[in-house]
Amino acid sequence: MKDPLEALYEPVLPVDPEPTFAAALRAQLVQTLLRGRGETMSNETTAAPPVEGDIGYASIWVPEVTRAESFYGAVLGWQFAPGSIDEGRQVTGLPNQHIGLWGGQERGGTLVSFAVEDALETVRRVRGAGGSADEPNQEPYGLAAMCADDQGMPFSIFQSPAAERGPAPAAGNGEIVYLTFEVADTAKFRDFFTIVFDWRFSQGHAGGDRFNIHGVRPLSGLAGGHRETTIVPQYVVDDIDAAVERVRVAGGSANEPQQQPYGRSTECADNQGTRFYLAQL
Amino acid sequence: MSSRPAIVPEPGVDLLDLYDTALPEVYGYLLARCRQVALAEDLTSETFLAAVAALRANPPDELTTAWLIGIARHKLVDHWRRSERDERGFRVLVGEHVECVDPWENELNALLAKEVLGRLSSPHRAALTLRYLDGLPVPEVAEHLGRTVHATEALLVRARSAFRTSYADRTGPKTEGRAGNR
Repeated sequence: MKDPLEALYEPVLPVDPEPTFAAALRAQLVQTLLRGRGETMSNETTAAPPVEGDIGYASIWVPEVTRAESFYGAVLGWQFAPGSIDEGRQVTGLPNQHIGLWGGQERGGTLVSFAVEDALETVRRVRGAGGSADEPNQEPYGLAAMCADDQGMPFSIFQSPAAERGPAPAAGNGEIVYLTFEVADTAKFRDFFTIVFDWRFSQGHAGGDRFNIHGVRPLSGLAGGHRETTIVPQYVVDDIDAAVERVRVAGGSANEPQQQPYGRSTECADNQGTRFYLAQL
Repeated sequence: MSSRPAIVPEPGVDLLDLYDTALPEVYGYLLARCRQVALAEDLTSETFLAAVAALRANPPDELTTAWLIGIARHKLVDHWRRSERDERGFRVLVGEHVECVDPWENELNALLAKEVLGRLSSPHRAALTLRYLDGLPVPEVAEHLGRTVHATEALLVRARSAFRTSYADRTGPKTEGRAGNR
């Protein structure tokens, strides 16, 4: 006999919640995602090892490294150790990330270095996708190669032992919480990096020629229509108003912070014109 | 510095892409089962935040609305478990004797049935919701409730009995008298 209570069956029927609730929850999700794992910023959180296509190192390119040193030291509290060349510096004491300064560059920007499981294989894929790549060299941190995509954006790769993708560590104060890849042609970029790293892309929430990049850490986005390729980092700070003040005092420029769903952010330039964003989550 | 609006640093994660389509489904699922807007909103928030944690710790093969509904179901059961603890002090254990006579004639009055369901104790409500509203087989209900299949079957028997008793109370001793005048 049929169970009469089966008449209670209720398929899932979508119901739109209050728009204010929907917007608030979306903002909370974005903030949670940007924060990484949460409050833990102590040294006991060991950075999850990068996996294929993650950014394991970011080098901030600047004209004069000593001027950059004083600027980023004052604004983000970075401390420095000597780099592999006179014009290079390693940022020390960051909880999760490896960042460096690279002087002697005409134009400021960010050079990112992607972790890969097999440098030779990646070099083949870069060339196959229409990019260029040097032969990999053995460096202290692994087999590495300089490359460029098919729109001329330089990047490097380094071989890192295969790792499972663990939880994203929270970006600590002064670390990169987000990267914006500004390019001329987003379709070309998407094709290239889908072949090389199997990245996926989805249309940005704001629409336009903007995309979310899936498969890379830190979180990154793609914006089209730029004459030159530039990777713009966003650094997280705990007090954006104070940080904006420090930017200006240190000879940089900063817009007034704007409220965003995930927190407050603003666009800045350092004392040599290299652009970046600040965010307080 | 350009005045061009900066790209919104929206994390490129799949959950946000799915959010707009999944939200009404998750919310609709929860609202139909807990029948309170504020509670459905709370549980919806809990569901999505738990999804972020789950995506980091133990990502599913495929991120789908069905996967999110599964999390929502867990959150609903957790809610009833919390309510059960609150109710325990004064809960009357009904249905220790099993009534076999259905207090409805041919079919349940769906609206009344939902109302009756809302008045049952949390364990009974949870068991009947998972078994009948969600249409889960008994072993899956058991898994959600953290009970053995045998204990779940016994719980369902008692829950059905409590449901019948409460339904009968609301339709009066003579069901045919009320059934005609709706």
